[in-house]
Amino acid sequence: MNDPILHAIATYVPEGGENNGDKADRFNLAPDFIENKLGIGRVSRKAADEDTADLCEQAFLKLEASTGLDRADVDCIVVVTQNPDGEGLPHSSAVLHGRLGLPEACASFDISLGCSGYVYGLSIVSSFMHANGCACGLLFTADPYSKIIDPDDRDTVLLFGDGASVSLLKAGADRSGWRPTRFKYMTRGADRAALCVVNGHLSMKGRQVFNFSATAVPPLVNALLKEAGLGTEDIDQFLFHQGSKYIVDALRQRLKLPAEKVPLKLYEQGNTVSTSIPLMLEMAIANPDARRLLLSGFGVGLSAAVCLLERQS
Amino acid sequence: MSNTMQFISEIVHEICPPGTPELDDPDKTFIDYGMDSLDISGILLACEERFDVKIPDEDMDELTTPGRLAAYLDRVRKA
Repeated sequence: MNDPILHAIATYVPEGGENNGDKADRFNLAPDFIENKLGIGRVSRKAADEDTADLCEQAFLKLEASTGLDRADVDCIVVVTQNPDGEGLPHSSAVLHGRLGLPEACASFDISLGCSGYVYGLSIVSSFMHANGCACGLLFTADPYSKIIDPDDRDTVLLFGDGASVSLLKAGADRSGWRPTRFKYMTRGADRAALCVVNGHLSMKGRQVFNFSATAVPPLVNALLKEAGLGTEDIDQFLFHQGSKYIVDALRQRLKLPAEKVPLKLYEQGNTVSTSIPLMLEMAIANPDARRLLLSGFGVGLSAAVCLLERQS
Repeated sequence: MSNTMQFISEIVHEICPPGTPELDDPDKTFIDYGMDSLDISGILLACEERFDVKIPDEDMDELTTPGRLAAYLDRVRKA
């Protein structure tokens, strides 16, 4: 079996949401802070009766419509989430498996990771497919933080939005698409308390998370590029996890990257955790001129992961 | 102007939004210079990296002005 290739991505952002401008007075926020620092005008919110697998299902329906994927062909599904359905048992991938009526031979499991989860997920699904001779795998992300956000906590309620994605990986004869070619990871578990759930609510120490992101990600990116024998000029786009506009700008400055190579996509939905990279990747792979992309997720753990994606013709 | 104060002025110029005024009064607060909590986090990180020190969250309350930050950095570097 060939190495798995990323063929297509579909995403789902719920229609519901909250405008940050409406909270400006309550939290004593300047408009400039919302626009130019957070870079988030609105955070998306799932409906009260939607749960994690529902978000994944909506993304899947879009993928199915755009690719003509046959459900009988799916060999494995993986859901990246730390906010699974119900009370967390059974795993969301099993809920999704049943909902979609996938074959019993289809493997299904969840991965517990936050903002670095999509990059980890690409590696895990690719490796799983390779090890088990799978021809078709689906990598889902859905981490609806609205389930754990305290509406009175300005450190989190203005940042995080709900969303989901599904990425289709195939290992068959069709080699068109994007191949993950190289990965690097790092973990700073000693600082894990900077982003955690306390008494049912998300708690974030913003300065600590910012310091981690700003100091851990650039060396990881540079190490990956060095290993690959590449320079920043060889990368068409750097898709950084959309923690906030401020952190993406800081990474761009520290890596001395031109703004046009570092897209921003968080104004309409906020930081969607492991879905933020696929939301950008969906657009990036639609650009026929793009040949090589660098993905970087970082956050909960504290954890960071980077990888290269290269277009196959 | 001390070297520490000079560095703080330079880093503010480098990482804060265009239009942020020069730090001509060391006793004026960062907030009064138009900076917000994220700007201050960026300044503190740059100072930590430049002077190889750790600034604990509990010390942040006293670091409200460029002058206080410079004095703090000079103090902890000597300690």
